[in-house]
Amino acid sequence: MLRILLKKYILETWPLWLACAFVLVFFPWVRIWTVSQFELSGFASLIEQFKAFEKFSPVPLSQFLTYEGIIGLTFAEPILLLAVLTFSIARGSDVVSGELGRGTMEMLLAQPISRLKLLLSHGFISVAGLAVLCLLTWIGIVLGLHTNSTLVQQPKTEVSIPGTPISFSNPFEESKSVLTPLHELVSSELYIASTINLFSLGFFMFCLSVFMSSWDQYRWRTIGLVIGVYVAQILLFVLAKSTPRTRFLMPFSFFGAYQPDWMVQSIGSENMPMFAIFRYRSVPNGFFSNIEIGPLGYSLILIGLGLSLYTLACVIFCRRDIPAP
Amino acid sequence: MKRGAIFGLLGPNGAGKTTLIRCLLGFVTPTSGRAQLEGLDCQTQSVLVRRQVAYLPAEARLFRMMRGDVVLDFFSHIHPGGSLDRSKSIATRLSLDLSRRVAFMSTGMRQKLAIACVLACRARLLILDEPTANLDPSVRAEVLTLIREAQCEGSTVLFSSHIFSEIEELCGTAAIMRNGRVIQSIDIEQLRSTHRISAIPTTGASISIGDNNVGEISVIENSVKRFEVDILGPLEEYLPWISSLPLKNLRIEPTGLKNVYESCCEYS
Repeated sequence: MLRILLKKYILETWPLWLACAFVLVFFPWVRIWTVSQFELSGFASLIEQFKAFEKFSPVPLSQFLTYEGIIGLTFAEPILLLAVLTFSIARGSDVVSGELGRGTMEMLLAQPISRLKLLLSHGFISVAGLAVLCLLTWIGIVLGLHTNSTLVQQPKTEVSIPGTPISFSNPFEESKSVLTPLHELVSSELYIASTINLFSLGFFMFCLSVFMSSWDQYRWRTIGLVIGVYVAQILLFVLAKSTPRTRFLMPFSFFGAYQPDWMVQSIGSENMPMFAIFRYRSVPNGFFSNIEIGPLGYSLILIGLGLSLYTLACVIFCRRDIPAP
Repeated sequence: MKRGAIFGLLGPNGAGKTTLIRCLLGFVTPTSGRAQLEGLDCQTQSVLVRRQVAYLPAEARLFRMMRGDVVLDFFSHIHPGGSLDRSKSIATRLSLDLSRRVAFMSTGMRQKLAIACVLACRARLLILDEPTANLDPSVRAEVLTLIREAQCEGSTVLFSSHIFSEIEELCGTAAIMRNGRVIQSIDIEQLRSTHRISAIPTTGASISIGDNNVGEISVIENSVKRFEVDILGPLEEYLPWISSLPLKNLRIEPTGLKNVYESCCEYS
């Protein structure tokens, strides 16, 4: 009985999943190829002009002058977010209000299956699909790093004066650039935490959509409400970042827990363990003076919030009346 | 409802027929009272109740992106009483093309597909809400035959319809609902032997009905302008008495469900 229900949800999911998978594998590859075509030091002057906007960035802008930083920015690209969020919202909104809107819920619930089982089997297929999509994003990054090379300027030969501690680079030597494979410059493991963070954002949006769908009757309204919440949260996040006075708003936006760029920087430059939930900080800062949230901690916040919404959705759906089609 | 019988459910739109069915399936919570089926509470033991029920909604909507044969496969596997062979055999009897996607089927074809899904299920109770809507007369007759076959194999059938002839043909008993209540229970067998007499009195006075007839005659109208009664016994015994009455434009017809229904819905 459960097998046939899972089969139904796979049948409904795969066309959208395939389209998203295509985007999520090829977009990171194309982006890394684009990055490999440029000498990043050339962007220094451009980045300098955006110094005033550095407060909106989770990491110092200089991070984007490194290959690991600029590739980490892939996780903030609208196309990538659009693919993940489209999958999450489309699947999440479909489970109750979608079936009700199409009138198929009545035939489905006339069968001897509990509402909870129906919701969970849908959730299982959708979350598994989302997890594989995020894995494909990481595979896209790995492929990009292993199939692209970039020109890297070689350091000039050091000349030292015998008998003295003086050494300097040879001023008569011409600067040479060598084509270097990107995987020698950047480790793909750096992006595992960001990929988990991307999954947790998708999971949260999926659960939010299921929650909205659980009490609604019209899928278009469910999608509208979820997008409304998403936009409101972005605005809140920007507002929280704008001034020190509005910084207290940060915990009210779930975007505060979506920090893929920060994770790349912390793991790459500060050697933070990628699966750290908390990190002990030697320099006290604020109320929880010595404790800082780690990369996995941020992802767990989003997953925890998502699970709470999903539990609420289960309670609402199991108790509500099913309207006639 | 008697076990193994076909029970008809009638009533005007909004009478509560579908709501009653939806209460039995646990789709809606009753505002008051409890619904039970085979001793199981329809709210708290809904899954167990639905194991014993196969339900065909009034407007059955199926998964649009599935092909007909995939829909049959889905419903035959999701219900413990389902059978793919039986549902395919019913689909063949209803001349249904199973290779088409539901989205490209006509309303009648979708109804046939839903019927094949539901009637193939060997459930103890079949709940059919207007099963013959959108079907052509020949398919309609075949569906009624299928329902009779299901009854012969031991299923009890709750048959909700607005078509009196179908209920008269199929059901042993029926109930008329209005405003959420059963206002009349009808024994269809008894109804078949009931006749309605309507005529105009010629004397300019109402007709006197003898005391010995009162028990078997139900007066609908007895005025100077119109005489209308239902006779609840063998008609031939009353014919001498009727011929002795001062009446003109006499009409004798089987009372039928239609007349009972109109009386109930008019006078209740």
